[in-house]
Amino acid sequence: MIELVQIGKSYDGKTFVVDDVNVRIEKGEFFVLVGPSGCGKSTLLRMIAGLEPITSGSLRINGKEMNDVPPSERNLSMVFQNYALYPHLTVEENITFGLHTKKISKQERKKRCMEAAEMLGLTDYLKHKPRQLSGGQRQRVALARAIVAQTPICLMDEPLSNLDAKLRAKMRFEIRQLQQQLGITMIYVTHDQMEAMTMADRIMVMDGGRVQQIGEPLDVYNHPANIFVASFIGSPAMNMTKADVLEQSLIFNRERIMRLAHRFPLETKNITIGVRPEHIRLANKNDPYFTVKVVNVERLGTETLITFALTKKEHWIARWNGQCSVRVGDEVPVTIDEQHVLFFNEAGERLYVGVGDDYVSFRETKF
Amino acid sequence: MFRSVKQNFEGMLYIFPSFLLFAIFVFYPMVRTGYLSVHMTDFQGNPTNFVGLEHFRYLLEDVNFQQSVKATLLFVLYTVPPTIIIALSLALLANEKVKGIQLFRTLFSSTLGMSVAASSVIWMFMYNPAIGVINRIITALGGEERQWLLNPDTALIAVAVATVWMNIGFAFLILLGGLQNIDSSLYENAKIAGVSYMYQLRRITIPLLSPTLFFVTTVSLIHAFQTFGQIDILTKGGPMNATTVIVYSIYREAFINYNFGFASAQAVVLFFIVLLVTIVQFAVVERKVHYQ
Amino acid sequence: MSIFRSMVTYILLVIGAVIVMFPIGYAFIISFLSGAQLLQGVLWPDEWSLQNYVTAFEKVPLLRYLWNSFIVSFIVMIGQLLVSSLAAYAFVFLRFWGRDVLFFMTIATMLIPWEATVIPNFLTIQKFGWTNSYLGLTVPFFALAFGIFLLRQHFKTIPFELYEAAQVSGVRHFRFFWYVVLPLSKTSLATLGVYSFLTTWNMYLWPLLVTNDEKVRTVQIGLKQMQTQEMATEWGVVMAAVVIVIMPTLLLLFIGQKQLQKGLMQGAIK
Repeated sequence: MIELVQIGKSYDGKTFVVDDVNVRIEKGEFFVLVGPSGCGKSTLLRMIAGLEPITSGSLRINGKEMNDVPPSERNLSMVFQNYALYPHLTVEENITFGLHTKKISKQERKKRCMEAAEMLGLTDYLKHKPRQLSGGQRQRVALARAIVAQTPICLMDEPLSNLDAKLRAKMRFEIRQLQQQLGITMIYVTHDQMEAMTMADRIMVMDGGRVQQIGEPLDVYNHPANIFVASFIGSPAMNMTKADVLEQSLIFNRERIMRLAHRFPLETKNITIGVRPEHIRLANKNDPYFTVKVVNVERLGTETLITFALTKKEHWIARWNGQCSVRVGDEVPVTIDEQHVLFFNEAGERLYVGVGDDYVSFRETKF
Repeated sequence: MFRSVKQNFEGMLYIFPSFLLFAIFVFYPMVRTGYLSVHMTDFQGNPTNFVGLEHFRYLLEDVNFQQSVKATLLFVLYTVPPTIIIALSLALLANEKVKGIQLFRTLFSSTLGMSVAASSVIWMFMYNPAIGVINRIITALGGEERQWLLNPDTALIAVAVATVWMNIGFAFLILLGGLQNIDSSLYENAKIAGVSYMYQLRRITIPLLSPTLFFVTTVSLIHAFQTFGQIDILTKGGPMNATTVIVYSIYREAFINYNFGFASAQAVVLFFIVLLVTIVQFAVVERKVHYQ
Repeated sequence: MSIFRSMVTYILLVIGAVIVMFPIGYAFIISFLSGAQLLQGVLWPDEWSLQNYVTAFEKVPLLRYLWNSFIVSFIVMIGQLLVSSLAAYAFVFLRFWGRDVLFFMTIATMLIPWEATVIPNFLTIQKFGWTNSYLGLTVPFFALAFGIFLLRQHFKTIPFELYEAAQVSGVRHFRFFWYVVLPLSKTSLATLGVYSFLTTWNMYLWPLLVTNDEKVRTVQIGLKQMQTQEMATEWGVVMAAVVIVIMPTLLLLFIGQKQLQKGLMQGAIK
């Protein structure tokens, strides 16, 4: 069990690149830190590893304070983004690197290495040098090295970012399987929300050095805490638009108006609304609807992405299953269930309002 | 492949200045040195009569030349390994990430900005038997004064010590650059694995630094064979030819004794020594050096 | 890093710095001591008198020598930058007959020690009537294989598409060289410039051979001359001259250190 209590990191003593991180990671959990580059996720991981000193707060592993314990005594392993393989050592030497410090006999080292190699399909390459391997194989060597240490915790820093898309999908599955098989606690850093969604037991979304939300992937997807999380998680991204509040209506760029079943607090003047692309659907016969003009259509085979103009300035994307016959320039009637519309205040925080079961309509205004 | 005359001409135009200068100041003199080495010459350096390999045969017998080859080899031995070991230690130190490290890096590389003449003059004074700091320290510690540069037993070592100091800056800067080129995640992984500093040095740093070490060694070796300035200022080749390294011998033969033919023969020998060193370095080390 | 380890690091760093800097600091201190003080074994000046510096300028034409060194170093620097960059451009961007052979020959010149060719070079300069002139001190060093190699390495990193785009739009080679390649290579040119200036300023054997009067004599030869003339009595004055001579190059080194290191590494490994 790993506990982070008010963890902060600052290089100059004034600005914090990681600020006030609180989280408890359970044993055997696959925990993913996700966020855009520069959000502090790698720094946080390196603080857990002991490669960066912790400026403030406390890091506990199994209840023991670890802030000043050197990396080698934290009983963890780490896989680096560039794999950190020693170019002059063979695959076998790379895998067993450092094991001698843990007072493990030569036979045991050899045995562990063979097992790990077997598991990852590296048996034939043990005498090769890293430069003779493909990207995927190098990645596996790095994994094998993390495995043979048999530490209860494994840290991974963007381990798949140097692989091509196909291989990445395959390795996602392999890493996840490996983690479950070995029962280790995994802390995994990535900037790829897809990776986070597919691999994690829980994800922690970070931005600007601060935690934005922690939760199970679907929870975060369905109930984003703020605009950042809403727009970061999901692809294509959630549609977002600013609106002015006028009594029980929302006005979009003076072009469209949306009526609500409820009122916002009086002081709310501007809000942002968000709708996931899959929640905008073609209106059925009896649905209230609003008409939009299609500006782009992307047919991906299993689904179709339709870009339409919500206002003159803003384009939204709708995602429909199957292969639609909509064409650019068409005017189509669409509708959104009100329960699928998310509201955010000016600070970007989620506004929880009473959910009606009405449909939402974006009518054109008459001003 | 067809290329237009114009294209060829244009290329030639750009390299013409370099090759004109190379022709006059590198290729021609190389050939000319070879030519002079098989001739007797007058005081203006004009060849008078062909003597074949007479100069070279004489070189083999000449006690002075044997002494100068010996002095050169000893000088190389006294300067190259110490320079590299000291510079490597300094570079390892200066590669630590502590506050104010940039200042130390600048200080350690400062001898690169020191001219041979200025450095030699400083060391000349430091070696001064009566008032130089070295003898002062030694007498303060209860030792006895020495005539460092005038004693045949110590002169070459004294010049070598000064030379090591002069060469540290260059070797340091290159080795530090080599260390900084090593991917830091390799050390981080070692940190997590918990290996000792010496193991890390032996297993990671030295192997990965080997291309740079190889380069510094080659350059230092060649440089050592070409030593002249500090000899000219500190000892003038003396005492008893103990510090007459090969370039100084060439200089003395050509520009003091005006024996250009004989000096050219020595220059040819110098050329082949440097060539040999370079080839041996590449041949031997190429197989042992780890390139990434 | 543990406190203990960083303490040890600092101690070793300071010891290293003291040893490396000792001769320079020593020269500096001596330059403020009078001959009498030196004989008495005074180790620290009681007053920081500039008398030795004044005497140094009076005894030998130090200013003249400094000027000569500066002019020579500057001319060699400009010459090397121009000649090397032209050749490097041809080797990277132009296709012409014998290019690879010529490049190989360029590299081969690095194997020839300058000292091995110094005799015919001296005779050549004599024949040209260039002894005791800036020409003789500078022109032989304009072509530098290391410089061509260094710049070639950098020019190769310039996207070839830029060259092709220039060709398509009909830009002449020299314009492309002057307005695109050179500005994009400022850092490498600066590195080579610092390197040329330093090495020329510090040159010893060649100026010793081709100068025998004050008109163009460089400061390094001036130092040697001072040291042989002054001998035991006026060491303070000699050291004052030393300090003056090393100042420009030390400053240049401190400013251009990072550049120089990067550049030299490039020439070394790649």
